[in-house]
Order: sequence, then C-alpha cells, then structure tokens
Amino acid sequence: MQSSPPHPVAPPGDVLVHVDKVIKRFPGVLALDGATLEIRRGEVHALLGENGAGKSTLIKLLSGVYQPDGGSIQVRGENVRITDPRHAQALGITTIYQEHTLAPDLSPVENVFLGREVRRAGSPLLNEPAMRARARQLWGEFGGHPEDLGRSVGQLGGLKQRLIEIIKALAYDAQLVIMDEPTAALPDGERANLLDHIRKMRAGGVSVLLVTHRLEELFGVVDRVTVFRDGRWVATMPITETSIDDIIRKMVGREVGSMAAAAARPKELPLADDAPDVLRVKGLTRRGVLQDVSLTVRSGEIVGIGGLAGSGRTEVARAIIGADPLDAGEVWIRDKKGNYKSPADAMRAGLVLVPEERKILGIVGGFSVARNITVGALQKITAGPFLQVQREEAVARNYVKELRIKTRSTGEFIENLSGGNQQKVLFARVLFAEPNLIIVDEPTQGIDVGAKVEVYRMIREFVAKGGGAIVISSDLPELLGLSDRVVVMREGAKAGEFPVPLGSVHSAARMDQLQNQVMQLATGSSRVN
Amino acid sequence: MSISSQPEISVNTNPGRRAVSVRKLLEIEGATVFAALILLVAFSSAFAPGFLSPGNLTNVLVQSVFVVILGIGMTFVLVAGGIDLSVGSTMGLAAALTIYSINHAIPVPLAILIGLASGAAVGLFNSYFIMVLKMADFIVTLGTLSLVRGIVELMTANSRLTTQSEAFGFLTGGTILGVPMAVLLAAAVVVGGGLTLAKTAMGRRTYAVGLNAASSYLAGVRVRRVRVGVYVASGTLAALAGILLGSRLSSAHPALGTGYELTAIAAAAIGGTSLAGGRGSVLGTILGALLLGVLQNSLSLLQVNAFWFQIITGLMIVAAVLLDGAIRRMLRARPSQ
Repeated sequence: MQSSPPHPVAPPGDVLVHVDKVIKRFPGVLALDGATLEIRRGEVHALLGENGAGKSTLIKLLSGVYQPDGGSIQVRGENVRITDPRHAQALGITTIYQEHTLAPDLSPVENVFLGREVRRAGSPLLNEPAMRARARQLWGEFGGHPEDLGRSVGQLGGLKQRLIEIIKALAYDAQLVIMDEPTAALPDGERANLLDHIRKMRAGGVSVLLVTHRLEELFGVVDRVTVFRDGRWVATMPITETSIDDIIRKMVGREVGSMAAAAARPKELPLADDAPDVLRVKGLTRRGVLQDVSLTVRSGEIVGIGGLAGSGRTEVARAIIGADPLDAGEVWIRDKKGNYKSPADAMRAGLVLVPEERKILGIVGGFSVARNITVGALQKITAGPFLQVQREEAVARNYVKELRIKTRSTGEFIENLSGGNQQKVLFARVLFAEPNLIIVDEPTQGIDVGAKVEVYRMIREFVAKGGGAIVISSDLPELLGLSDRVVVMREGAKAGEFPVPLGSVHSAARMDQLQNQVMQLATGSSRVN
Repeated sequence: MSISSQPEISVNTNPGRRAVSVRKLLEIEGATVFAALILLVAFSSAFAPGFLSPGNLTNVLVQSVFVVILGIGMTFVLVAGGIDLSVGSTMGLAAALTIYSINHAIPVPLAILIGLASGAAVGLFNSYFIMVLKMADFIVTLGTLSLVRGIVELMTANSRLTTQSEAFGFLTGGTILGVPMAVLLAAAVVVGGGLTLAKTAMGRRTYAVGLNAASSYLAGVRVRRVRVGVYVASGTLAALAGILLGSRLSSAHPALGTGYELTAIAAAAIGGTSLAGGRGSVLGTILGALLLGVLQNSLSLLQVNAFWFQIITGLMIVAAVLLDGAIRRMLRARPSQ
C-alpha cells in the first residue's frame, strides 16, 4: 500500500481534520489499513467506496464511537484521541447518521436542544424562548417555515427532518458535519433541495464530509472526493478533475459499464410478442390510498413502477400481495383469481415481494443467513411438523454459492452482512418460494455498485426463465434500464404507462427524454427541473 | 462488512486453546443456568439438612411443576414478542371451574377438559384484543389478570370450592412406577413444548415473529396465527397448572395462582428468554424454574426467613440477564460496519 498520499497537502492552517494512516482492526477483519483523509475548512468532501471499503469505520473513528489501533487523527493541527461522541462534538465534529436519530414525538426545537437544553440563569427551569429563537433563526436560514417548529418531528417530511438534523448539528457550533447517505430516503425533488442546503453550509464556513452511494449527486456539490477500497486510501481528487466512470473504476478497481446499461435487457433476448400474462391486476382501489389501478405483467417482462415517494407505488405492491386490504379490484395470477388475504397466501400462489427498507421490512435480524432464506417457505423443509436442518443447510449453501453471497457461513447472523449481501439473501428467500412473479421495491437502495449489478442480473435471470417482475424504483436510470414498460403513479392513481424500447439505455438523448416523460407524469406538469 | 482475505489478526494477546473451549461451552444454550443450578444443588446437599432425601427431592419436583408448566407457555409468548400477565388468574379460573364441574356431577375427565378450555378461551380473548384491536400485550393481559381474578373471586367467595374426588386427587397425589403423576404430566409438556419450539416450523415462526413481525409478515409468515397460537397455548398451559394446583389442594380458593405470572416470567428470564422477543428456550426456562424451586426449598430447610427468597430471586433475575447480555456480546463481537 501507499505509504504517503501523493495528493498535494494543503497548507496546515487550511486543514481542519487530518486522518493519517489510521488502522482499525476487528476480530478477523482489518477494516482500515492505513487510511488517510484530509478535510479542509469550508469544503464539501465526499468519501466514496463500496460497502466494506471502510467508510463507516472511518466515520465512527471521527465521531468517537471507535478508537483507532494505529495512526493518528489531527484536528486543527493537534493530535487528538477522540474518546466518545460527546468529545467529538466538543471538538466541533457532528455526525448525522443514515438512520434518523430524531425523537419523532418531540418538537423540532426540543430535538435540536435535546440533552443540552438552555436553562434560565441560576435556575433548573428551561429557557424556552431562547431555544425557540435560536432554532427559528437557524430554521429561517434554511428557508424553513416557522410553523413547522410547532409540530412534532414525526409529522414533518423526510427533507425537513434532514434539515432539522442539520440545524441540530449547527446549533452545536459544528465545524465539521459528517453526513452518512443524507439523501438515501428522499425522493428526487427533495434530494436536490437538500444538496442545495449542504452547499449553503459550506458558504457559512462549515466543512461537510459526505458519504454517499449516489455518485451523480456529487457534481456541483462537493469540492473534493476521496476514494477508499478495502480499507485503504486510493485517491483524493478535486471533483473538477474526475468523472463518475473514473470514480467507479477507482472504487471497484476495474472497469464497469454504466449502471443503466448493466441493468438493460440484452439485445439478443427481446421480449417475446406472444408472451402470456403472468399477472393481471384490475381496478385496485383502497379508499384514500389507491384508486383504480390496473396493470399487466407478461412472462419474461419487467414492468417498472415510477412516481414520487408517497404516490402509491409501494401501496400497489402491498395491495397485490395482500399485505393491505382492498376495497375493490381483482388480482389474477396465470389465469387464477387470487385476491390474497395475506402475503402468506400470495406467496403460496407464487407472488412474492422483496420490500423496501431492508433493515426494517426485509431481514429478520437475529436469524442466520440460512434461516432468513427459509423463513417464508418452511413447509418446503419439513417432514411432518419437524424441520429438517440438514435440508435447510443444503438449500442455504446452494443459494450462497449461486448468488455469490459474501458471508462467513450460512450460520452467520444476517445483520453482520453488508447491505448488498443482505439484499441477495432476500432474493434467495423469494426465489426459494419458486415464484411466478417477483415484486422488488427499491432493489438497490443503499447498496454498492458491484452489488447493484448483481441484483440487476438476478432480476434478469429470473424473468429469462419465464417469470415476471415488477420493479419499483426512485432511481430513474435504474427504472428505465430494467423496465420493458413503465407505469407511473401519481396521488394513488395511474398517471400513465409507456414502453421502454429495447436499446434505449444506449442513447443519452433517448434516456433524457424518457426520464422527462416519467417526471412529467409523476408531477402532473410539463415543467420539470 | 466484507470478509477480509487477510490472515486473522488476533486482538487477544494470548487467545490460546482455553479461550476457544470456554467459548464453545458458553455457546451451549442454558449452560450458565445449568452451572448455577449444579452449584446450588451442591450447596444445598452440603448445608441444607435433608435436602437429598428422596421425599424432599420429590417434593421439590412437585413444587416446581406449576412454574415449569406456566413457564413453558410464557416462553412461547415471550419468544413471539408478547407477554402474558393473565396466567396466574387463569390458573384460578381453571381450578375453580374444574372443581365446580366435579361438584356438579360432571365426570372428572370432562371437568378437566372444561378447565383446560377455559384457559384456551382466555388465550383467545387476549389475542383478540391484541391482534384485532391492536392493543399492547402488556395492557390487555393486565386487564385480563384483573378481570379473570374477579370471576374466580365471585365463584369462590361465598362457598369455598372443595372436592373429595379421588380421581381428581390422583392427578397430583398418584404415582406411576413411583413417579408422581404431576411430574409425568409436566414432563410431557416439557417434551412437547421443547420439541415444538426448537424443532418445528411453528416454533421457527414463533422466533421469526418475535424478532421482526413486519418482515416476517411480508416474507409469508402468518403472524396472526402465530400470535393467537402462543396466547392459546399459554392460557391452556396455565389452566393445566391451575388444575394441578387445585388437585393438590383439593380445593380452589379466591387467591389460587395469584402472583404465579411473575414467577413464570422470572423462570423464563433466568433461563435466558428475552423479554424483547425472539430469544429463549424451553430448556432454559425449566432450568430457571428448577433453580427457583431448589432455592426456595433449601432456604426453607435452612430455616431462613422467606423474605430472603424474594430478595435472592430478584438478584438472580438481574444477574442472569446481565450475565446473558455480557456473554452474547462476547460471542457476537463483530465489526459493525
């Protein structure tokens, strides 16, 4: 490995935080192996790398959750040993984690000052006016409406919650704000908005360290990027001197084509014109949620569902598999009517869902990889009432090999796998049920580039064998790359539907036009930002 | 987290062979409770006069039968992520109903079935409020505790229910090949419950629901069926324990079973069952129940004030949960990347 980074070192006065050749070990894993990172005052710096590259470990070192086993960390030129998160905050380093850490039932003001409430001089009573004024001022700087501060945080949308986490950090007088996947849970429109606000923080002299999988977001927001691979520093570059392709190459250490192209249907395997319907859905209606949604999926076909968050995309999927009750509508699978009362019924009819929000709705944490694969179809590994553990083990081993799931063993707890590998386990789970149709909600949310390509391949292989698939995605290139046809939802109803001609992904102009088409339908306007 | 291909880096300066074998031992379910039970038995044998006499050992077993049976039902409920506070009252209800039926010329086997059915009905009642009306398990079963206790008091307040039925008395008083009936019945429950939880699809689903009900549901687990099932099982087993206690006392009094719900939860917790759901075993609960039974017995043989039993039980619950947490953290230590 490189002993010293070849990138120019900024003048010391300019450097806020310098991580120098840091080492962090865990039993059996060297998470950081001489990692180096330099953050200057008032810059937005992106830390990039695949899962397992050591980004999260580095963040935890900077925020005092872990302590390094070697190397040094300097803040404002002084060597520091960051003992705990409180110490990190005292040093001016605040971290906003991917999982929201706000208390949903408290107000924004209470959240901002949680744990360090301002008191009246010489009194245990809270100085609420002072706190409100400070929060209101910061909130105003981010263009927030004062009315929002009167509600509980849980009532605010994803973007506003993110902004409250930011003003919470700023209220700590943070000089470095670390943001882990800040836009992960946001719809497209709000994502751009949040990025604007991040730029604003820089204007105020605050440094931002951004960790993200969405490479296309970097341009126009960040000043420099640092790429890690396998716990090691690979490169630090001004954003103006690099490109997405270059970054990906450095992240994975090899050439990878564009994401959309990786998802696309191969030209030599066009969808057969006479392919039979696998799924027909007619007039799905759920009062106040869904209105008269119809769609068809043919054998070998991938149908995409696009639309803004809250437009009813996920609700369509839940209604089809019987997770939510229907007020009207019919679900037909291969000419058999099945208005399913529960996901268990749907699964037995060959209709399965890989849900969004993998950690909450997908994996069964505390269960091993093997148990996560079999949990939905235990009847396939039982003799009488008894489970056959050997058969389960064989099934799991098979999927681990076939889907290239990276895990120490089939007995490993699933929460110890990376996001991409957890997603593969969820694919193994639905494939084990031998479905006719799979619905995949946000197939690549929060997983790295390499795993994304593999997820696309799994969906492709499934439909190539005659199954049908529905893919729900906020990532437009992904949606258009995978889909043969796209249904766009708006306010619980179908706003439109159009085919994606074979080979569209190879034309930038064609992709632009299709993306515009989705956004126009999704927003109900012809003006698209 | 990616698996590094690097040679393993040991943090421990001297991992050695012993560390590995201790680790293996700790991985065995219930190992620590078992060790504690052995220590306590050894202590009691040495210091408590008459502890090892066959009469006393039988007595300990029969005394423990009620908590063992209740504890197994409680383990199912806790593993599924719920809690059942109504079991003590259900014991009273089943005992009262069974004896009442016997006294009204209903044949003993049928009377017992009526008692068991009342427990199942309490379980259905609980699960209806929890599943259909989506209320918190703790609140619903706390309400049921009070409601059912009230019914028991109504049934027994004016005329204490007693019975001279020999057939009914045989349930606890009788022996087969020298083994008390109650112990045999408990053993059957232990084997059935243990196999169901550990070896069947139903048991596996119970763990899945306790770990993550939302993802289990979307994965195709019939969550409602599992949760109704565990409450009905818990109610029915509580009824069985109540009927046995009624048989032992030849009567049902207004307070029969009072406080047993907490002892059952204590036995499960000491045996390593998590009150957060998803973790626990029948074996652990039995060991927990036996630990409590032996403790109570030897303290009384040593003529220690009964208040000490309460204090030691309290300390044991806290110590068991603390130790269990420490061991699990050690076993699962992994980089949380």
